[in-house]
Formats: sequence, structure tokens, C-alpha cells
Amino acid sequence: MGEVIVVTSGKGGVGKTTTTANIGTGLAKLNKKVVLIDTDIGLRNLDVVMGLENRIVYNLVDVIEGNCKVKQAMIKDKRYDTLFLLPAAQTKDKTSVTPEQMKELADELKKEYDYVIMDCPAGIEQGFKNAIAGADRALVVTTPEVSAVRDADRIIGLLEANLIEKTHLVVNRLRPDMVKRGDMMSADDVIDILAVDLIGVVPDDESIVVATNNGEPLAGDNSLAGQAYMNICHRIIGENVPFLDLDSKKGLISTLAGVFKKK
Amino acid sequence: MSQNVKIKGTKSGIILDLNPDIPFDELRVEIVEKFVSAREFLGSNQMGLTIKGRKLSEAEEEAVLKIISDNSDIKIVCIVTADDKLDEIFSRYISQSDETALEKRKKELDEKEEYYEQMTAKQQEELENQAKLLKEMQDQLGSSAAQIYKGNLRSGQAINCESSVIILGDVKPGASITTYGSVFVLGSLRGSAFAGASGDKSAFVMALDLNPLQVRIADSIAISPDTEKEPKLRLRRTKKKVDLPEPEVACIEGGHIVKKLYGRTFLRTNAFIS
Repeated sequence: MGEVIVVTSGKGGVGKTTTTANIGTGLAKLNKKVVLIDTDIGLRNLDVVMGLENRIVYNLVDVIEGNCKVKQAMIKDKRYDTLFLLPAAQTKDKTSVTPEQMKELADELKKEYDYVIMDCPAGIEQGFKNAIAGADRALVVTTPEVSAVRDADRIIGLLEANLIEKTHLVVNRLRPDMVKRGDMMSADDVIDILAVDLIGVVPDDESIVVATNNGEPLAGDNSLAGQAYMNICHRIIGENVPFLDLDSKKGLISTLAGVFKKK
Repeated sequence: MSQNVKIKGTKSGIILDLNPDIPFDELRVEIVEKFVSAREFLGSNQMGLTIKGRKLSEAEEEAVLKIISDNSDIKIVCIVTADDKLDEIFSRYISQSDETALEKRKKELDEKEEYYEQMTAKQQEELENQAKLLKEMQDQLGSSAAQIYKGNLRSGQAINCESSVIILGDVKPGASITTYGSVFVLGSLRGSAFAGASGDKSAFVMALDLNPLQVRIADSIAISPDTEKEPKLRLRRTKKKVDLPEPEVACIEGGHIVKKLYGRTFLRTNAFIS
């Protein structure tokens, strides 16, 4: 029996979709059978970030309405055979699906897959309710900004009210240099405010932007963000991994050593 | 006003829904009123007429036709009488939901057969003629009529229609066009297009800048190539000038969807005529 994980945040633009894509890729790299579901009906993005945009024939709404089988709507990832995407519809809206239907779908999928990851839309309306309906665990993504943290707090409250017990925090787009200067909240500050367990800290990294634009998630590659996402994946499957030291400035020699170690 | 007379439009004609319970003379007055008030709306096309709800005698039918020709500009080319008996059979089976669909279908077919056997040969011939005429009309409409859409089609917007479509604008990624006919985009096509949705393999997709995510024609499908990575190091000087996009056509050739330049060579093959 697999686990249904919802990736949510409340506020938009903090990196839910990027996190979903990278965690999905990371878990597939760890040989898990993973399906990503984009629940952002009408504003789908996960397909673009995964680089699978051109393969969409059927979508989530088709599955729910019974126009096709679940298998037909699933798109296999370019790189990993155990990673699948169930894209959202673009021409419908959030009301095309009900939380009950989503729960049914999630329950069906988790029989066959190790992880079912829901990419939640921003906001706390219907789309959010759909996404969390079948969830066993939630990853709340936030950035170290007051607005994102406040929304995350509201989301955590709603998740508790919906009896989702396992809630973990991903602090995204952290800039160690700014934290050092005292211009940005640190991950610890964020945890103090939100009072939930931390599952990962992802640094602000240019390579994420490049990867997103190319449609190739970078979980597990050499970049700092890629490693951070990979660590989150390890923690999701229950391994205990130390947090990355984001502060270390790599010297020239160690960078070169890293390049040679890679291959 | 009571709804003793209703006019409904379909693709190839109009349906006249008549109240069966009032005398024909009263009905007549109301039909006149309806067509006078709908004169502008109906225009001056050729159409088929379907009469529903009431069985009309030949004389009455003629009277209705006369009313229509006197009070509107449309030309009725044929009359189809809606079949109450068939309707009844259908609705009876819809209400009996405990049978399996297969059984139902079988029984339905049997009854239909029985029903057609009952008809005289003359009636059958008449029906066939009418069907042929309707088909001809639809074919004419299908090949000659195209919908024109002015403006850009943005992500999330979709056009679904039975005739061919001409888009005077761009089709952005995430937008889609589905049609039984062909698709012409006088702009760039970056979304997805589905031509010949009813199975017409001679349908095609043409665009001034053909760069779609997906093209489907009948039951074939083609997707855009995955983004080819450009070499990171590129000297500015060697950067070629970007070629202006040329009009291209996607059509089925040898069972596959192929992309061709829309130029003299393509036109010479007379692909549009087939």
C-alpha cells in the first residue's frame, strides 16, 4: 500500500510545482513507483516543468468523468520508467472534480504505486480541498518571507482540521548569505513560528530556474538544490540524512574534485 | 404567449415543434406570428424542415410550407416528419434500465426491423430519398463552410466544431482546436490541433508558423520533438539570423502525419482537392 502525499503552500509562487517535480524524480531515482497528479485544473504547469507537455492526450478530468481509463491518461516520464504524470485539464476549472472523486482516485492509485504525489494549486478553495482529500501526508512548502509563512500557518491549520497528521515543512529558496547578514529568516526561525517538523531546506539556486525551463527536474544532480531535494526524498522513505551545510563556500579545488567524482 | 409553436434550429435546418392538442386553424395563426418575428434571425438559407409533436395531413403540411414561404426568406428543400413511434420505442427502453445494454440493443434492433418491415415499399423509398438529400446537403455544407475565429486563442481556450476552422490570430500553447474538418491558422500554431476528428484522413492542419505541441489527424497523433539542447558555448558572430517562419501544412501521408512546406510543390499535388 502506497502513500498519498500532497504538496501545498497556500501562497502562490513559492515552488510547489517545482518541489513536486523534483521529489517525484528523486523518488523514482530511488526505484520507487511514483505517480504525480496535477490538481491545478485550468492552470496546469507540472507537465511543463516535467517537460511532458507535448504528450498529453487525456487528463485528470477525463479520468474522473470516465472518458478514459486511468492507465490511458498516465504519461511515462522521459527518463524514469517508474515515474508517471497524470496531468490536469486546461480547459476546465476546479469545480469539474469533487474531493470525494479525488479521494477515490487516490485510494485506487496507491494500491499500485509507492507514492502518489498531488501538486496542489495555490489558495484554500475547491482546488485545495480536492488535492488534500485523499492525502496521508502533507508537505508544506514555504519561503522565508512573512507572507509565505503566514499562509503556510493557515494551511497547516486547515490540514490539521482535515485530520492529516503527518505534516512536514520544506523551506524553499533560502539564501544563506542573507540569513548570515540577518536580512532573511533562517529555517529555524520559520520552524519556530510554524511549529512543525522540517523535512528539508532548499537553497535559492539558479540551476533550478534553468532546469524548470528545460523541463528536466534536477533532483540528485550536482547542484546544491538538486542535492537538497534528493535528501528530502531520502527522508520521505524514512532514512535519516543530515541536513546540507548550505553555507560552505566550495573552494576551487573541491569544486574540481566534485566534477571528477561525478563520473 | 403560450408555447404552442416552437422553432428550433439545427445544423442543416429547423425543427417545428407543434402542439397536438389545439385545432390546426389556431395553430396556423401562431405559426405565422412565429415566422414573422423570426424572419430576420432565420435569414435566407436553404434548409430542411422537421415537424415534431403533431401529425400533419398533406394539406396541412402544404399550408405550413406556404406560411413559411410567405412570411420568411428561407427556402425549405425537404420535409422530415419526426417519428413518434420510434421515439416511443426509444423512451420505453430508456425507462427499462434493468436489462443489459446488449440485450436492449438487440431488442431495439429487432423492433426497428419489424417496424421497417411494416412500412410499405413506397414509404421506404421516400425515406431513403430524404436521407440522401439530407446527406448531400450536409456534405455541401461540410466542405464549403468554415468557421472563422478572429483573435488569439490562449491557453485554456478551446474551439470544438464540425466544420473547418480558420483562425485569424495565434494559437498559444495550452489552447486546442478540435474539428471534423481542417484547421487553418493565419498566425502561429503552438497549441494542439485535432483535424478530422470524425475520422477524415484527408483533413489537414495549416499554419503560417506551424510549431504545435501536438497534431492529431483522424486517428494518428504527432507530438513536437522534445527540446533539443542548444550548445551552451556559441559565439555571437556565428549566430545565424533567425529565418522567418514559412507556412507549413501537416497532413497524413503513408499512415503518418508529416509536415510539409506550403508552397508550389505542395499545391501541385492537389492535396486540397482529394
